[in-house]
Amino acid sequence: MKPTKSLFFIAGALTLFAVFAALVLMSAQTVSAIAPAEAAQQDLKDCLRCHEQPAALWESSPHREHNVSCTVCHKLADSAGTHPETAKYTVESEETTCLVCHGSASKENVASEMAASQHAAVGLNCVSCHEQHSQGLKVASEARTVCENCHKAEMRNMVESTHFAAGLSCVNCHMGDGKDHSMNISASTCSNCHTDLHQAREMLDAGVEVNAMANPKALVTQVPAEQTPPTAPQGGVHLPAWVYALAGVIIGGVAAWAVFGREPGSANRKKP
Amino acid sequence: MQTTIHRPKLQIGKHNVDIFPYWVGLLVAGLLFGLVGAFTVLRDGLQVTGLSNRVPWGLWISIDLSSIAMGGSAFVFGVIVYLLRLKRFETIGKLAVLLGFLGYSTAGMVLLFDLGQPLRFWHPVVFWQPHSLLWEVTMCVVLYLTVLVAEMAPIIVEHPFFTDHPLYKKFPVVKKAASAARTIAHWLHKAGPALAIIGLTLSLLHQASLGATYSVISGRGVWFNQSAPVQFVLSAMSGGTALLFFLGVIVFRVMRPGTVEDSALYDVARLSGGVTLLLTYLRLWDWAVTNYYSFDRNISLQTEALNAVAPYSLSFWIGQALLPIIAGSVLLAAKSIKNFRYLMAFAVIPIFAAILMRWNYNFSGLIAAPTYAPFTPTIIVNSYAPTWVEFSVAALVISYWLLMFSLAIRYLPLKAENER
Amino acid sequence: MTEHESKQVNAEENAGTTRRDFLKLAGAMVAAAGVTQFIPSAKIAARAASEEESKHQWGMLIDINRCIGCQYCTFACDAVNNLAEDMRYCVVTTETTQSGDEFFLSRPCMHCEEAPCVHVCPVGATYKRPDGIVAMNYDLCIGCRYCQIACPYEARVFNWKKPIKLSPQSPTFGYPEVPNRPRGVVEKCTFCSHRIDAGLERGLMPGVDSQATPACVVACPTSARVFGDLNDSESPISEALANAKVTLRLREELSTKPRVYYIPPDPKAENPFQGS
Repeated sequence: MKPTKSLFFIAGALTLFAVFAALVLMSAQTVSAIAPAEAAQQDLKDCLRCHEQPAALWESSPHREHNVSCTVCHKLADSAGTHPETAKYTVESEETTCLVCHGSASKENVASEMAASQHAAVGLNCVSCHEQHSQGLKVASEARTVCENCHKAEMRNMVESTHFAAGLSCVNCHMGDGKDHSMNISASTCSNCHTDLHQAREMLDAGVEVNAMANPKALVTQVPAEQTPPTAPQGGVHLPAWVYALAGVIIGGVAAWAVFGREPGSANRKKP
Repeated sequence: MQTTIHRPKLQIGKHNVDIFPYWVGLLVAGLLFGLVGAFTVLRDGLQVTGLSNRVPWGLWISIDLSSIAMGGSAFVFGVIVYLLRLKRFETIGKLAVLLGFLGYSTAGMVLLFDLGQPLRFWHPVVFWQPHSLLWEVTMCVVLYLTVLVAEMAPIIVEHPFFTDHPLYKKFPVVKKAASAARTIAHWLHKAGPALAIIGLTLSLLHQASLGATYSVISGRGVWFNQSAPVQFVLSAMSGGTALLFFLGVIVFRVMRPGTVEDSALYDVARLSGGVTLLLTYLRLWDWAVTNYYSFDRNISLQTEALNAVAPYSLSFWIGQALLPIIAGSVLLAAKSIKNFRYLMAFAVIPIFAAILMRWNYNFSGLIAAPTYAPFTPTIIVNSYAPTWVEFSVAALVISYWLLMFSLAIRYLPLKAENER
Repeated sequence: MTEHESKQVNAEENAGTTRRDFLKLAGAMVAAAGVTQFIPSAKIAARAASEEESKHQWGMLIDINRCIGCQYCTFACDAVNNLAEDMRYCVVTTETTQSGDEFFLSRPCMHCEEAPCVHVCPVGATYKRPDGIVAMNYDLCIGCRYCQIACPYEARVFNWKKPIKLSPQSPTFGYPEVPNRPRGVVEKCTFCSHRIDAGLERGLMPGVDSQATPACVVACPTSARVFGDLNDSESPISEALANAKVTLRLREELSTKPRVYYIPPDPKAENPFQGS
């Protein structure tokens, strides 16, 4: 081997090594350089490729404000392989999803309030009222408030009440300022506004209002339901008057002709 | 060679006016108005109609059923002329074939507009679903229309155009084509008995299936009826034959006097009267079976609901029992009455009764619909109001029917061959 | 043209048939192949598949006592199938018992075993899948609406108008998961067959895993709806049916054999929302 040739060989090997080393080091540096706050962004970009719509809702949600990103709730359950073929992101039970933050350990203590409510008694959970991605309220297109989704009759009574006229809605009494998820009405609910102690006391003693408010069925009986007068059935086939007139003209014409007309044609008219 | 056609003229003062151009002008106006509606429905879809999910079949289906009923004489006279070989009805039989062809082509036309996907009208022919009555009706109507075209062809080639025309001298090709058409038509004429048998089979099948289309719908009590198929066949025979008599008098006594004996026309009236009485007898038994001898809560609730919104029972007792009995008896006695004026007036009744029966059949189950509520089954009374588009398309097909009929009876030679 | 047939044709040619005859025959075969191309493959698949029953038979149980009439099933269905408010597959109505008590009746498609709509369709556009789901082939439907007339449960809707862009219940109650249907065809509840099919492919069990379960069942806040495989005795629906003292199906007198069961209202049960 000539010295010039071996020099070239060594130089080439060194350059190749340097390039590889640089590539490996640089890539390692990029990974380690990601700040925890940016992880959410990176995460979202991957998800966004397919899951645009939930991401759009999340974008303006309280979860977004607090950097609660997709994988906080959608946990990688089966990490073998690649998503979406084999690896799956699933939402587990409410305890491991919502209640991790909104549970009894938190200052809000939504979980225990909710557990004490009648809502929990009939089987409702967080997502019954809250849209999971925006954390907004699930108001159906036919309802005015989320409560009206189910409490249709109560809402009908509510809109006729003095409370409604004063600008109050369901949550003012049933949740209060503290957003009490037990939905219970306490004695102080009334006196918060009805500061005239005497009046409030009187009502409390009578027990009328509070009982009525707590018992939807009692309220229904107090306000008579709107009586719609029984109307004649509106169904049937509706034809415009000219159709009947036309049929009448045809039948009447034939009848008139039969009575007053001439015999049609002749059996054997001579050729003209 | 050509039959003399007396063209009725309107006498206004001293002027003797041929009303035919005005009549055709009126029908062309109807066609143009209809084309506007047809264009609208093809462009915007069925949302322009008064139909809904609760009443998905309306005016067009009723017209479709009625026009098929009005073509009912074709198969009856196919049998009379080709199988029973009653030569004196041959000329009338040609008019019956014309009515059949017009009735069925009208039905096909109006059905096309009633489809949500009109471009897929050929699907039943390719994608068979033999369980479906509607498939059977479609196939029968398509095949029977082919049979009717084959039966029409010999009548059309009798037109002078096919025997002699100035064009022949200029273009020998036209002459060759015309003589080829005549040859084919004569073969078809020889196949007449076979066509009559096929036509009879197809007609009985689909006329009955039209009734069964409704009567298999067990969910709507007033439709669920075992005799409906027979009723539909008989009503098509009674209404179709009555129409044949009515128009036969106009064509063969007024316009082409001397082509048909009066006695043959009386026999058509008698046939219609007999079938009308038979149908009425069957319908009365049918009423008794569903309303008197048995009690079905759904049917009585539905009937009650229908009576609340329309004179449903009244239309049955007057329009389908009393009047047809009178009309049937009068028509049956045609030979003793011998008054075409009275007979024609009474022939209108079976025609209207057949249309009324199909109208009622179509709407009764739709307007009064049983609900699926489990403990307290009730009847929902639906409503339906046809829109101008539906009337427009109705005008289109009725104008088509009348125009083709008017042109045919004025220009086509209907006289039987052996009489020439 | 199969391998076997083509070999035979070649053999015949060698045996003395003329080239012209062969070309005619080949032409006819190509034409026949062209015609079969014309028939949507889905139709053939549906026909072949319907001959044997699948091992799964899907069914639903609706407990009327648990239903609070919130219509979440309807809203979720609207969102997933992208339905306008006048096109609903699943509707909730207020009905009364014989004693006059009111209750809520939630009604999806019954997916009848003897489905009247399947029997009456003139082109076979609506058919019964091997797993018991009554499905639609929108490419075949001619829009004659006979199925709507035949259905005793008013479960079918016709596309009178062009499909809407986005259902008013979306995105609150979900997102469109199936393609829109064209104007002029009839459509109906599918038991969310797209979820079932995709779920089974991924190894999920419909009725247990929410992603493979119909949207209405998942959306129900009170778990009034139970879904699952009627053939599997350990499925949620089989257990619920076994535990139920009494069940009913709608309009059983018509012998349509619905696959949707109901637990009738119990007069003793306390449901604060019933009767509102």
